[in-house]
Amino acid sequence: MRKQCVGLVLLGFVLSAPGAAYPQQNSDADCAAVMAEVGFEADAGCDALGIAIVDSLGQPLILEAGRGVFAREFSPQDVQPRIGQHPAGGGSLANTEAIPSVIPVSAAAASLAAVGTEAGTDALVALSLNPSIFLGGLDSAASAATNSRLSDLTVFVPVDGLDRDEDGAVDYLGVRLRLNALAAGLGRDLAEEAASKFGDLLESQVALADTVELVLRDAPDLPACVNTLLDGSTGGAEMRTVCGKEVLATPPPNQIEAFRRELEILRHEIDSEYFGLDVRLDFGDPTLGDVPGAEGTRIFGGLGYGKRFVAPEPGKRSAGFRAHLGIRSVTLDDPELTEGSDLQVEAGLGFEVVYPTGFEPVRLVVGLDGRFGDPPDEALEDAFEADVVMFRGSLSVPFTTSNAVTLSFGTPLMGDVTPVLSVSTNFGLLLPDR
Amino acid sequence: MSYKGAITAGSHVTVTLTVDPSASSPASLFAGFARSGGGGSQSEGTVVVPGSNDTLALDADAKGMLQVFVDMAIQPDSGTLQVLTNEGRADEARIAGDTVWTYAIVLDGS
Repeated sequence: MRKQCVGLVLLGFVLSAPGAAYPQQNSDADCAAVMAEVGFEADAGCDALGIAIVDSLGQPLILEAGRGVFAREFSPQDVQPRIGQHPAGGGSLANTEAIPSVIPVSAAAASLAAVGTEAGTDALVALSLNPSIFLGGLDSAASAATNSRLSDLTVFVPVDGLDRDEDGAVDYLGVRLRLNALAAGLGRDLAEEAASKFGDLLESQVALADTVELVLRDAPDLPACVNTLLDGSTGGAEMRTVCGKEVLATPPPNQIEAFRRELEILRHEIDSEYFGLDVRLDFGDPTLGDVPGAEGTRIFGGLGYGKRFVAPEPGKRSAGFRAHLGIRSVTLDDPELTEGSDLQVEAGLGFEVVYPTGFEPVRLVVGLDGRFGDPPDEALEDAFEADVVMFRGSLSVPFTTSNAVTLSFGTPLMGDVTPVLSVSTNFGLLLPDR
Repeated sequence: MSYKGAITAGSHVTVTLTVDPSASSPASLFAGFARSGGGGSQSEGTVVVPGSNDTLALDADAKGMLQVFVDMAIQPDSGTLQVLTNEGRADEARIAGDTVWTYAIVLDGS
């Protein structure tokens, strides 16, 4: 931006007529008199007149920039994550992300997934709520940006056959908690960066005003020069006659465009990395009847990390990786098992490609994840879902600003588990717009 | 007219925006000061929710330009904007919609 300011000053002089040298002939009192004449507050001299002229010409551009940039940057809706609003599905049949992230939904979201296994088809509904956005509030852009990225809580239940064994209890209930530790500083960074870019825009106006002040001090016909500049003239014989030089007093439109691009890239960079806690609780049979004897309680605690490498200009494809690692405890309900628990290590690594669209981005994730443990009964290895490696993939395609259809699959590379195919639709609740 | 007048260099400036409770959404408030001669800038930004107010403060320590920018959610949204300096200048007005107030920061005696 500093280079642009210098460039603007130079541009002002490049447009000057060579050899048009005049002694400094207009005093601050002369400028104050003209200020009063044209209707400006006349409480200073030529420096203030230069600023008043540049402000008068640049104000429409600043307001336009505000409508297009500041408003978007600081409305709660526009500081919320620019990624898909998907309920947490890690570890469930309705997993909408091949390698689950810990990026929460910004406010609330729901998904309905049709799941196909060797046991047949089923449907799971997931409801996600971001408690931090309700507890922390939206009273500033910084808090909105932080809270919409901090945490969410998801509940999974089957849509039909809630109690197939007719024991009076829901056959399966899943709960997920995601906590993104990198969210804490995001809002502050975003607010500071946007304010800093406002300062950059001001610097360019001051550079113009400096140039205009010099021209005003030397103008052969000061009142006529001021009126010519205020009429929006960018040069010509008349300006040379009354001002002594040609001068550009309006910020060039490409500067506003550059300003927009910088803030757009900033928003994408904000959501390019996550690191945090992934906690999952599953009660009942998460295989929805596919594996006999799988009823039990599963508790997972782990960490997730992801990083995307964002292109230096907006609207470009980006790619990155995702990883997670954690410990899972599985306790089956089988009454014949005297020691029915297994402690497992779960890990996953995947790659993602993100294509920006006018809605959510299109997201493709592929990867491997697996669980390794030591089940107390080898015959129940399937029920414990241990020593399994799956190849997973997911493709999420948006159809509105907050809705997407996701196709995901998982096929075993190791272990005797069923392949999974699911199609889900998510409904994200956006934060309030301007 | 957005040009409001001159403030003496060295002044401490506070900018307060109060958004009416009837406003539809929060408003953005920015205040920035840029020095002449490529001397850099300082700027602050905040969001003010309807029915509340927030204040930004700047030290206009050299010749230059100070600008206050209010970005209302929609044009009918309204509030009160106030600019005070420790030198005694006080501007206060009811505003509606997006608003820019600009000041020249001038050297004493200019």
